[in-house]
Order: sequence, then C-alpha cells, then structure tokens
Amino acid sequence: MKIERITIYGFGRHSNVTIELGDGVTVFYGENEAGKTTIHQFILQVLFGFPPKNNALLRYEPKTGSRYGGKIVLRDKKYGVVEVERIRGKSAGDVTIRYENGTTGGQAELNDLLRQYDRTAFESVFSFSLFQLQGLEYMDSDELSRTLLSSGTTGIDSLLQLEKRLEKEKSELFKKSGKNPQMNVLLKELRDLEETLKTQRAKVDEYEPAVIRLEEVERQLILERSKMQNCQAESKKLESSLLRIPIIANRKRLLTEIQELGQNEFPPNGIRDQEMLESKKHEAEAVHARASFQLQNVKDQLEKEGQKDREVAVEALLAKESDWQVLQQELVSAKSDIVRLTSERQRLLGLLGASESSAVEGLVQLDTSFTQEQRFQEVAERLKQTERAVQSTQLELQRTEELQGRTVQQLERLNADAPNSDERAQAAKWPSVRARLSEAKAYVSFARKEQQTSSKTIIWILLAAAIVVAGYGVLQQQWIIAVLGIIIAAVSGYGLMQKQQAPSQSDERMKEMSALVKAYEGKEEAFEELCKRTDDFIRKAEQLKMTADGYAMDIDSLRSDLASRTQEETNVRRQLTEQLIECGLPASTGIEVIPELFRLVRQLQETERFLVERLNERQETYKKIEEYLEFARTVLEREVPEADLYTLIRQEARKLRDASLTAETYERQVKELSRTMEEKKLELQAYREQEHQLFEMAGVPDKQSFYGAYDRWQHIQTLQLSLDGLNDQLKTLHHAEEFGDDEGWIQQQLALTEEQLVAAEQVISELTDERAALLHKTEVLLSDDAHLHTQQLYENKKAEFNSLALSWSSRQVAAEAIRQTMGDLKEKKLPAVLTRANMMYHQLTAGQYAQLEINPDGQFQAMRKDGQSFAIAELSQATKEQAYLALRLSLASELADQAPFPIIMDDPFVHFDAKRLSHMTQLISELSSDHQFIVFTCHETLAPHWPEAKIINVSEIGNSPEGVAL
Amino acid sequence: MIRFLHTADLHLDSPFKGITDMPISRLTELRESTFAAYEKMIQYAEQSTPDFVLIVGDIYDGEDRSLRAQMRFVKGLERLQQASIPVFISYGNHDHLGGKWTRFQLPANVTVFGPEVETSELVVRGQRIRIHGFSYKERHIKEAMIGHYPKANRELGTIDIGMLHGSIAGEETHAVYAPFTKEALIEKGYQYWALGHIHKRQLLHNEPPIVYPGNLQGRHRNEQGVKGFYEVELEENVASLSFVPTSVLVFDEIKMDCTEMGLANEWLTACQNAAIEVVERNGASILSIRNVNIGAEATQLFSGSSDEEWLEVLRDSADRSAWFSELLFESNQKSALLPDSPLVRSVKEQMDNWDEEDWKTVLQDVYQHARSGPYLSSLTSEMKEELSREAGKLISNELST
Repeated sequence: MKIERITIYGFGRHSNVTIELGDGVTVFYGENEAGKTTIHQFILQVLFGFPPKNNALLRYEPKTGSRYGGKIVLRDKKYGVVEVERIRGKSAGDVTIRYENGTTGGQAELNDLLRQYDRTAFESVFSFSLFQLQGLEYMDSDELSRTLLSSGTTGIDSLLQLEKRLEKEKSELFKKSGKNPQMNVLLKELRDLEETLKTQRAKVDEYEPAVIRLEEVERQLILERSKMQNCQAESKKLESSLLRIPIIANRKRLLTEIQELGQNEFPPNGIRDQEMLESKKHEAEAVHARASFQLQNVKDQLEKEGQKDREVAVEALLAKESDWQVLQQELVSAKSDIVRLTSERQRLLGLLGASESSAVEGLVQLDTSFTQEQRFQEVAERLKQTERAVQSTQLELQRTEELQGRTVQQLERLNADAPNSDERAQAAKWPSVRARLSEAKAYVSFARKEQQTSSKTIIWILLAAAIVVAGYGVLQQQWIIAVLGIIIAAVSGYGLMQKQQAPSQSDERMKEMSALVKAYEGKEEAFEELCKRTDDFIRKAEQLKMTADGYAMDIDSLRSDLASRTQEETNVRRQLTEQLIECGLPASTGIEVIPELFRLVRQLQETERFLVERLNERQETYKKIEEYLEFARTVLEREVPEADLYTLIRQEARKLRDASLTAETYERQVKELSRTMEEKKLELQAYREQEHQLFEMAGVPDKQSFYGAYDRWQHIQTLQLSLDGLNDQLKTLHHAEEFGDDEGWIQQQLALTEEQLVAAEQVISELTDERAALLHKTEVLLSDDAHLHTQQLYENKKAEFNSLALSWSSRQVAAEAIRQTMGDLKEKKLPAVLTRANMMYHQLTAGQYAQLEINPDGQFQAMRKDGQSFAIAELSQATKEQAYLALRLSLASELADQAPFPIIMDDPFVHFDAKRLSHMTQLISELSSDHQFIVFTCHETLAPHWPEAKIINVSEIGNSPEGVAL
Repeated sequence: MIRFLHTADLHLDSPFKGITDMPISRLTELRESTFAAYEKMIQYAEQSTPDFVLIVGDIYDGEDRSLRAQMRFVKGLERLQQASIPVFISYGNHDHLGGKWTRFQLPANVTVFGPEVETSELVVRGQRIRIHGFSYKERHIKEAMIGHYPKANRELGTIDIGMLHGSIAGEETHAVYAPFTKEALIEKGYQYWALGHIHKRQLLHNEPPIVYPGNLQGRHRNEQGVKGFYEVELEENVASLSFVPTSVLVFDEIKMDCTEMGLANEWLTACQNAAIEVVERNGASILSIRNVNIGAEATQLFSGSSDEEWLEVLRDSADRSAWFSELLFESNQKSALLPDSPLVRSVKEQMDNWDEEDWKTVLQDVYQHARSGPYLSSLTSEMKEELSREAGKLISNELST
C-alpha cells in the first residue's frame, strides 16, 4: 500500500494543501515548527480517526476556520486506488472511502482496507521516532512478540491476561483432580445421584418379588387359616367331650335318686284339686250351718206373728169407716145447726128486744094470728094519717116564715142602699137650684163678651220709662229728671191700679153667678139621677112593708092548726102503745114495723122448734159414737182418742198386714233353707268321695301323707327336669361322642390341638404382618416419587454439567488458541524476524555485528563479529538504534503480506555517522521496492543521501509564506 | 370402514432432559405431562370408541421406567377394556422384551406381539383385519426386520396393517433400529404402516400411509411443536388421517428480530408477546428465544448484561404457562461495530486450523476424562462451531473494549 497523494482541507497550521508523495521514499524536510509533525499526524488521523477531544493526542483542529480534515489517496494491491476522506463529524470524524470503480464505503471498509489495524498496532510497527528507538535497551522477546503481533503493549497484555483469566475460570469450573470447582462438585453430585438412582432402581426391582411374595403369602394365609379352622373345630369337639363327662355322671346320680324316691304316680294337679275340694267342702259346710241357724231364727219369728183374728176385726172396723164418718158428719151438722139456730134465735130475740127470759117466753107464746095483726094494722094506719097532717101543717108554717124573713131581708137591703140625708136634701133642693142655674148660665155667657184686657200694656211701658228716667235722674243727680220719673211712675202706677180695680167692682154679681155655674158644672146629670133614685127608693120601701105584714098574719093561723093536729096524733100513738104493751111487744115499736114484728115472732117460734129438734138429734148421735168407740177400744185393745181413731185403726191394720206378709216370707225362707241344707249335705258327700279318689290315686290314706307324696313327686319332677337338661346337653354334644369319656386322653388331645392352633395363629399373624408390610411396600413403591425426583435431578445436573462443560470448553479453546498463537510467535515467526533483522543489522553495522540474539532471560543482545556478546545497554547509541531499526524493518518486512503499510519515520537517523547513514539509506532504498517510506527530518543533510527520493520542503507547501523548497 | 388410533413413543414418566435451571418442583409438574398426554389419548379413545388402538413401542423410557408409569399405563388400558377397545402393542427399543424390569399384568383386551413378526387378526363389522408386528427382544435390533413381514394376501374385505418400530435405513439423526426402506414397506401391500421410534411426526408416504405419529408429549427442546397421535379411518384403500393433539406442554423456539431493539423493555415485551402468542396457539410452552438480526444497538443492549441475567429477567416477567429455556444470539458479523484486531484474528485463526485430533487434545481434560466424559454428549461439528464461536466471543469481548 502506498500513499500517492494527501490533501489537507484544514489541519493544524495547514489548509488547502495537496502533496504528491513519491513511489518509494518521500522525505519531508523542514525546520522546527515547519509543520512536519502536523503532516505526520494528519496521515495517522485520517487513517485511524481523530483522537477524542479530551485525549492526550492533539486534534489539530484548524485555527483559521477552514474545513477540518482532508483526504489521502492510496494505492493498494488488493483494493486498487482508494481515496480516504475524513472530515469533521462524530468524535473520530466522518470517514468516506471511494474506490476506483466509484463505489464508496465507510468505517467498515476502511477497517478492511487497514487490515483491521488500529492506530496503536500501526504505530507499533510502521511508525516510529527516535524516541522510540531509544527504548530498545528495555526490549525483550515479549516486547518483540507484541510488536510482531502488531498489538501494542495493551493488546498482547490483554490477551495474556485473558488467557490467565480463562485459565482461572477454567480451574474454577473444573480441575482434573479437584473437588471444589463447579464441575467437580457436579460430577460428585452426579455420581451420588447415580448411586442413589441405582439403589432406588434396586428398590423398584424389589417390587416384582414383593408382588410374587405377596401372592405366596396370600396362598399361605388361606392354607393356614383353614388349618386353624380345623384345629378350632377339633378343639371345640374335644372341649365338648370334656363337658360330656360330668354331665353323664350327673345323669347317673339323678336317675338313682329318682329310683330311690319311688313316687311314680301323683294325680296331675293333685294338690290343686285337693285344695279346691277342701275349700269347696268348707264352703258347703259353712253354708249348711248358716242355713240351719237361719231356719231356727225364722221359725221363731214365725211363731211370734200369729194375730189373724184381730186382723179380721180391724179389717171390719176399717170396712165400717164410712158409718163412722157419717156419724161424725151428723154430729157436726147438728152442732152447726144448733149454733146457727141459737144465734138466729138470739138475733130474733135481739130484734124483738126480748132480753129477758120471761119476755122470751112470752114471745114464744105470743099469738101470732092474722087478726091480731089486722088490729095493729088499723091503729097504725090511723097514726100515720095524723102524723102526715101534722107534718103538712108544719111545712106550711115553715114556708110562710121563710117568705116573711125574705121580705124583711129585702127591706133591710133596700134600707141599706137608701140615699143619705144630704142627698135627700139636695134632691129636694135640686128643682130650685136648677132654675137658678140656668139663669146664672145665661148671665155668665153674656158678661164674658164685654170683658177686655187693652191699655194695660201702655201703662206698663210708661211705668218702665218712668223708672228708667227716675233711675237716670238719681244717678245723674239731676233731681229734676228723677222727680219727673217718679212722677211719671206714679201716674202710670196709678193708671195701672185703676185698671185692676175696675172689674172687681163691676162684676160682683157676675162673680156670684160664675161660682154657681162653676159649682154645678158637670153635676147637673148626677143631680138629675139622684132625684130619680130617691123617688124609686121610697116607692119600693112601701111596697115591701106591705108584703111583710101579710106574711105575719098567715103564720099565726098556721100555728094554731098545728097545735090541734099534734094533739090528735098523740092520742092515736098512745092507743097504739097501749096495745103493743099489751101484746108484750116493745112499746116503742113503730107502726110500720108491726107486720115485721109479726114475721119475726113467727120466725122465732119456728127457730125454737128447730133448735129443739136438733138438740135431740145430737144427743142421739153422741150415743152412737160412744158405742162405736167402745167397740174400737175393745178391738184395738187400748184407749183410743176419738179424733185419731181411724188413723190408729189404719196403722194397726197396716201393721197387721205387714206382719202377715213377713210371716209369709219366713215361711218361704224356711222352705228355702231346708232345701239348701239338703243340697249341701249332698255336695259334701260328693266332695268327700272325690277327695278319697285323689288320695287313692296318690296311694295315700289321708291328707297329710298326700302332701308328703306331693313333695316327693315334686322333687322327682325337678330331678327329671335336670335330667332332661343333661340329656339335652348330651344331645348337643353328640358330635363329641366319638371321643368317649376318657378324660385324660381328651385333655392330651386338646393340648395338642391347642398347640397346633397357636402355631397356626402365629404363622397367620406373621403372614399378615408380612402381607401388610408387602402391601405397604408395593404401595409405597407404586407411589414413590423419590425415584422420579432423583431421575429428574440427575437429568438436570447432567444438563447443568453439560452446559458447564461447554463453558469450560469455550474457555479452554480460547486459552489454547491464545497459547498456540503465542507459541507460534515464539517458535516460528520470531526466529524468522530475528534472522532477517540479523541480516539487516549486519548490513547496517557494516559487518561489525554478526547478529541479534535472545538470551535465556528473553533479553536481546548483540553479538559482535568476533563472537563477543553485548547487552543492548552496552552498545553505543547509534548501534542500539541500528539494532532497533533492524528489528523494526525486519518486522515490517515479515508483515508485508498481512499489512503492506508505508513505514513512517520521524528523524530516526540523527546519531548515525555518514557511513552508517549511507548504509541505512542503502537498506531503505533496497526495501523501498516493497515498502513506501515516509521520512520526516529537520536535517537538510539527509536529503542528498536519497537521490531517488522525493524531497518535500514542508516550509514551502501550501500557502505558507515561510515555505521553502529544498 | 374401520377406525383406529395410532400412537407411539409414549415415553411415560421419562425425565425432561436438557433443562438446567427450572425449579425442580416445576419440573416435577412437567413430568406429569407425559401422563397427561396419555390420559388425553385414553379419554379420546373412551369417547370416540375406535375399533382398536395401536401402540408402536417405547411406552416407557427403558430401565428408568417407573412403577408409577407402568401402573398408570395399565390403568389406562383397563379403561380401554371397560370400553371394549382392543389394544395392540409392539414393544420398541426402550421397552424391549429382554428387560429385567417388573412387568405388570396387562388386561385381556391387550395383544402384545412377540419377538418374531406375528400376525394378529380381528374382525370388525365383518372386515377381517390382520395386524403384523413384533416386539424388540433386546435393546438393539440392527436387523432389518421388515424382511420377516408377510406380504398382504389381498383377499377381498381384508385389511393389513403393519406395526413397526424402527427407522429408515441410512437415517443419521437417530440411532438406526430395525432399518427399513420406504419401498420395502410399500412392497408389502399393506393398507397402513404404523411406525414408531422417530419422535417427530411425519408422513413418509401417502398411499398407503406410512406414518410416524411422533410422541404424545415433547420432552426436550429438540422435540418441538404440538405432539399427539393419529386417528385413522380406512375404507378399502382409502385412508383418512386426522391428527389429535395431546401434548400439554409444547417446546418451541421463537425467532426474535432484533433489528430495531434498542431498549431492554422493547425486547422483553416483544419476547413476552411472542410467548403469549405461542401459548395461545399451543398451550403451555417451553420456549427458546433465538435472537436474530442483532444490530449495533442490540449488541450494545445485550452486552450490558450476561445472557444468564437476560434469561432470568425474561423468566421473571413471564407467566406460568410459558418457560424460557434459553437464549440464542445469532449475531450478524458483517455489521459488527468493532472489528477483530489482527491479534484477535490470529488467535481465531488458530482455532480454525484445528483438526479433529486437535480438538480432542484441547478438550481432553474434560471430554476424555474418565469421570466426566460419560456425562457429556459427544463432540459434534456443531458443537465445535459453537465452541469456536464462544471462544471467539470471549476473546473479542476482552480485546475490543
């Protein structure tokens, strides 16, 4: 690769500069400050990027304000002519590549173009200065390797560090015989897991045998169970046969006992029957005894009741009760008649007023014939007439006297209303008064027409004026005027006086007349009335007086009539009284009662007669009653009151009737009882026979031994029951019959069976346990997840291990690659470089030094042609630089295929003498066919050594005023 | 018309491999997934009552088969017996007849093929069905057993079905067992070939169908996608297959384009969204994220933390139905910001120059180690590439900062 042309847009002090470079060697010459380094930096920065802003390296941004950057035209064997342009952009600048064919590219293409070299790598091989040459004494083989690998210090260090780290990481992952690295741990785990898996798998393998064993166990179990059942049955039988032995013995004993007791027969229910019979017997006896006792009683009673005759008599009495009643009634009616008649008689006697017995006698004896009565009638008639006459006269008299009284009364009333004397006098005066009055009236009416009341007023005015004047005068003390007033007043007063006096004088008469008129005014009619009344009164009074007188005369005549008639009457009455007394009748008897009297007397007499009759009848009745009572008394055999007679009789009769009924009952009872007694006797007989039969059946003579027999029989029954029980037991144990009753042998057998049983049970228990264990085991195995977990875990670990292995492997591969690279370097490339360097060194030192070598410490040393070796530090400065240059140039040559870059040198030959310099230029010229050399120098002496080189005076380039062409 | 289910490679209760940092409790949960998938198949059979069920080997995972697995398997078969569904089993390399493990009594509806090729017959609705198959008598059957299969006799109304646990001859990715060629199978004239052994679902041939149903449940990241079995309807020579998914957990890879990624949140959200999408499509999933098109920004972003940290953050923000198993970075070297220096290049060149022996020598400490060797998978060229890449990364990272 060769740089053909550089164009600077703006970079440091340069701007708008285009420099054509030579094909082989190009020398940039310039004094200090000419801008050599700037161009050097321009090439580097355009190719590898502007340094970051805060970097130690300068950015050379133009101060003139022109465009930052520029371009470089290269010619490359692989890529042809390429233009690389870098301008301001991002930190490193924006780069554009243009190929011959017009295609363009960016950073990636630039990287390809630069063979992935970065600036460090480039500088470490292809660009060096004097300063770098001077460090040769520190150079060792590693440094050379680094340089050779074009990686600079950091690159190779990093790689070596990486290798170390990878080794470390690897060893953390895995160590061949380690324990702690991850993979070793995992390996251990995996092995453990495999182990676990193996055991778990083995466990799983136990499943099938377990299942087979389980089946076997089941079979055995069934076998053992049936064995056990057999044993159980056997031992049961044996036990039964053991049980049989005492039972048989018992049975024997019982049979003997029954034999001994011997009571083979006993009536069924014998005791009950016997007891029943006994009680029935007792009952029958008791009934019999009671019946005979009752019979005796009844007979006694019956004897007591023997009153048939009395009963007949009483019954007869009862039959005659009506007669008795009739008698009683008769007595009662007689009595009442008597009473009534007596009272009648008494009443009549009372009526007839005969209180004394004599009078009574008389009356009773009185003649009561009609003639007698006629007589009295006549007298009485006469008396009546006279009485009537008297009475009418009296009445007349009375009436007249009344009339007279009334008249007198009228008169008196009239007198009371009579006008008084004044009135009478006025009435008497009135006719004259009336005449005068009319006169007066006429006068008055006339006089009233003349009378006037005028002029009186004027006078009063005058008077008033006069007083005023007089007053004025007095007040004014004008006496004249006062006097005049007084005068006038006097005159007027006088006038007035005159005026008033004049009528009274002239009307005296008038006054009188007026008084009269006035007194009678309105009374004229009253006076007229009064007159008339007075007249009427007088007339009536006279009339009444006359009437009263008439009455008085009538009364006198009537009184005389009355006296005569009364006389007559009295006579008649006396006659009658006399007659009455004569007849023994009360004298006071009125005439009108005479017929009544007679009737009463007649009645009395009749009553008297009846009374006597009744009394007689009563007497007779009494007698009959007495007889009756007597009879009753004899019948009833006791004193009987008359009143309660029939009550008693009825009582008695009832009693008697009851008694006879009782007697009948008794008789019936007697019959009944007799029959009962007979029956019971028969019953008793039957019972006794039955009892006897029972006794016979039991084979005993009496009751006592009957009970004894019963007890025995009972005992036998019990025994029999036990016996039956035993028989039953034996029956249930019949299956054990085969074993007989040898107890010892049976016990032995039993023990044997028991042993077998226990053994079988033992086996069963063991088998059961085993089965349970097996079941559990298979169950667990079936549901066991552990294996699965382990398996999964194993797989996981395996995967993990694989992934770690991958990780380890990648590190191993990387580390190994690094190692091999380094090895390659040391063993192949480095010697090649050294060989080439030796040749160059030899040439540069003009054969003074044979070669460069590396001592065992890795340090370089130079060997002189005489074979003497020198450490680099021991060499002269120029020799040292020559050694370094030789190495560098040989490196570049070595890398020519991989990295055909131009070699840029910055004043590397200052210490060289002319000879060596010419050797140097010679060498470079030789090399320049393969490499482009760009040399920066401030020594103008250098240029002539390269006649074929292109010399560029930096001071002259571009528009720099100081630019000087060499 | 007959209808049957074809399944293989149940690998019941096998541990999940290659998962390093999932909590063990969660792994145990995963472990149930093979059972859950099997359970799904049994349920499906119970509901759809096919005429029979074919299970073409690898029911368990070899010596590691657990009692639990066997018990569950037998229980499932018992349920099929309840539903009167016959089952035909041919054991494979993982559950060969030679194993010394405990064997459970299988219910009466199950027919197990012997070590030689046998033919089992059954009649379904008047159709005679002949099923041919064999069980592995030992773990490794290298013999091409196909030669022992009889040819179909081509009687009318007879259906021939072959059950074969093995792989195509010349197939490199799997260990070759009972190798066969497609032509050899077709030549037999069967109506259906029920294959097993390959866990990836594939139809080798259409008429007649030659089918790997794949396993019921994926178990590591190489068994990606939805897994299940086939329900097959055969009518004379016409077969219709329908795939019935059973996997309760799906391994999957998400390609994450990182061209635009500049912020951690962006990337996390994108990953979660992608995961949610996958979970919605396939159910619970175990996902690896392959980051592609990693640009300058993304490089910067990812270099901020270690891969492990990124993974951890991703897991923390995920919900339970998604598990992020690993992160892969496919960096675009062209666009890398920082070029390898000559030094780095010379180091890397060293690796590139290694041959097989060199590699062995370099890694012998671990890979040839008596103890650790057996636990490690053998060095493949991919692994070597991977290792070079990793190592290069280590160096570049160190030297370019």
